Amino acid sequence: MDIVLTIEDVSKNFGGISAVKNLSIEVEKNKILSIIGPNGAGKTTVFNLLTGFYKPDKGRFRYGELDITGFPPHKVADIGIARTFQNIKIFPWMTALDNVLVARQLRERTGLFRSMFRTAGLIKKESSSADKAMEILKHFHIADKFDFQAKNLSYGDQRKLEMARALATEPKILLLDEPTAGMNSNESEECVRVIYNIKDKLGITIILIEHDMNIVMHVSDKVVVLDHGEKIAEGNPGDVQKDKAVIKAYLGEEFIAYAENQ
Amino acid sequence: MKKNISLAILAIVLLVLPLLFQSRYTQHILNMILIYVMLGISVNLIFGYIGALTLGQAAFFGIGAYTAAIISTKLGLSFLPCVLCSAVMGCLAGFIIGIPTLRLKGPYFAIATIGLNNIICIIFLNWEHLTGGAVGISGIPYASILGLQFDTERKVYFLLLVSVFLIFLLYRNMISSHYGKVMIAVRDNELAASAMGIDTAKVKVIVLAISTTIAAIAGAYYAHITNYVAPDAFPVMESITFLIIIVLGGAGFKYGPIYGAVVVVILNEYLQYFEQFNMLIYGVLIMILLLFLPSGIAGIVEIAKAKYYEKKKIYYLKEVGIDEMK
Ligand SMILES: Nc1ncnc2c1ncn2[C@@H]1O[C@H](COP(=O)(O)OP(=O)(O)OP(=O)(O)O)[C@@H](O)[C@H]1O
Ligand SMILES: [Mg+2]
Repeated sequence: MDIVLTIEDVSKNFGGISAVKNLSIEVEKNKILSIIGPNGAGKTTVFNLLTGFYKPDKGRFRYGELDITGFPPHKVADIGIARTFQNIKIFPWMTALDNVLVARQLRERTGLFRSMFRTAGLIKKESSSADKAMEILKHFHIADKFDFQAKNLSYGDQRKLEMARALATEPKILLLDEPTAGMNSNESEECVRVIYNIKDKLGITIILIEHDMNIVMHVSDKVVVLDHGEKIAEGNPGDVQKDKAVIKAYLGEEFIAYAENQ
Repeated sequence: MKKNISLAILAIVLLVLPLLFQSRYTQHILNMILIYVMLGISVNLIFGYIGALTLGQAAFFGIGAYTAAIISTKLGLSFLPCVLCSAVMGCLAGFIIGIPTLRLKGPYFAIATIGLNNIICIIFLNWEHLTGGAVGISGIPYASILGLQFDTERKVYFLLLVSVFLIFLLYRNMISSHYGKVMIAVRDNELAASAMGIDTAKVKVIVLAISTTIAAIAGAYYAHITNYVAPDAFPVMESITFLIIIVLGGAGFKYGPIYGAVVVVILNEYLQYFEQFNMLIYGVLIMILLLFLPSGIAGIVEIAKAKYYEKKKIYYLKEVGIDEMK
């Protein structure tokens, strides 16, 4: 078992609310780990802590040997952890292609002074960067819309663009916060296929927050269930589905007996 | 090809322009427009492309002007070394001021820059043995390069034209490169930009330093053209004028500084005839223009171009009103 990321006893409070409490998770390399839980369980907060948008009150994040607790967001992206946002955060006034080009800058680093003097090297590098960006858009089947302003894309395409942009930073770990939210069933099916391919073909580890249980059960290698910021269950999809605590958190006490009779 | 022809025509017009006007006054106006284009570029970088509202850019204009004035009168250095020193001072000042203030969001940054502008003016006024206090520094020599003296408005025009052209070229290269897209990303969604691995604080400080360098260079030219600097040339009101250039010309548009500088300089000159009413009329005019042109003149040009070429998409137009018109 090859662990790429360890979340060690992390807690985060907002005022009186304990959004994440004593959470420990081990993330295995080249697997899909899903985090599920009712609304307000603290799933998005885990992403925000991990990517440096919030500082944990307690606990550590380890990326391999490296302690990345307290790294600012841009450094987290630099070491190879990319994310998407639950409430889409594309650059609305830019074209789809330019959205991806911005993300490519992390690896291309064309540099300000070369840009100002528009050297031959810069022109070459920018055009190869654009080729790579188009390649990534093709991956997500939105290459034909490369020159659309991002805000004019359909909701589903905007979600895909966000994933394309995250992938353009060449991550080792990809954090997806409800990637299929707002997609119709066709789009959602296609999206799941793409996610699976990212893991399978590119060897990227994925942490997925997802409300659609069909998707979770279908693609996950491991599932972690949060409720009120605490981990109440963990295991392979089949076991978690039968777990009493999980049923209680999702449906209430009275459903346990019902589930047992099934 | 078509583009080359229109560029050639533009170049000829710009070169012939000062010869068409015989009066020194008109030539002076042309020169002011060119200085204001530099300042417009400076404000467009930090406000138009990074989104940091600055009301203190006159401070850096003043730092450049005073640096050139002091170095040329006290040390006797010639024009180009003076411009270089002003540029270095402007750049340093940009870094020193940007690092603490650019953390401030929205209106707080604007207020900090107002404070900065006032502090710099107080320093100009009170550091008498260096700045000459309220009297200022006079006797700044005309610009001269390789023995060529720029001692008439017409000669100054050509000096400015070449300088503005070079600055515009660097500015254009910068904003149309991928780095320029990074700047827009920082403006439009700082959180998302940082999640893409962009060190947003660093980008902002660097762009501010470039912008203040350009303002300081404009200051050095100003000192050598007017032969005189005094504290009352760099108040917050002047910073507001620079901002108006960009808002009217089109913030975040490449040619915004040019359109804005032309309109604002000419407007300022005409409104002088109205004496005590000039600020009132100026204010009302600007309000009307902004109500009807939320993206400035560049926004209108962009729409006209899109219509002409029947392009379906208009990129980067920020204001909803304009965007919906397409
Ligand atoms: N910045 C914040 N300030 C205050 N409270 C916050 C903040 N972010 C999250 N919270 C609170 O922390 C708790 C966990 O929120 P979080 O967004 O992580 O839930 P979630 O599991 O992602 O829910 P959902 O499924 O609705 O997306 C909630 O009670 C939320 O109100
Ligand atoms: Mg959430």
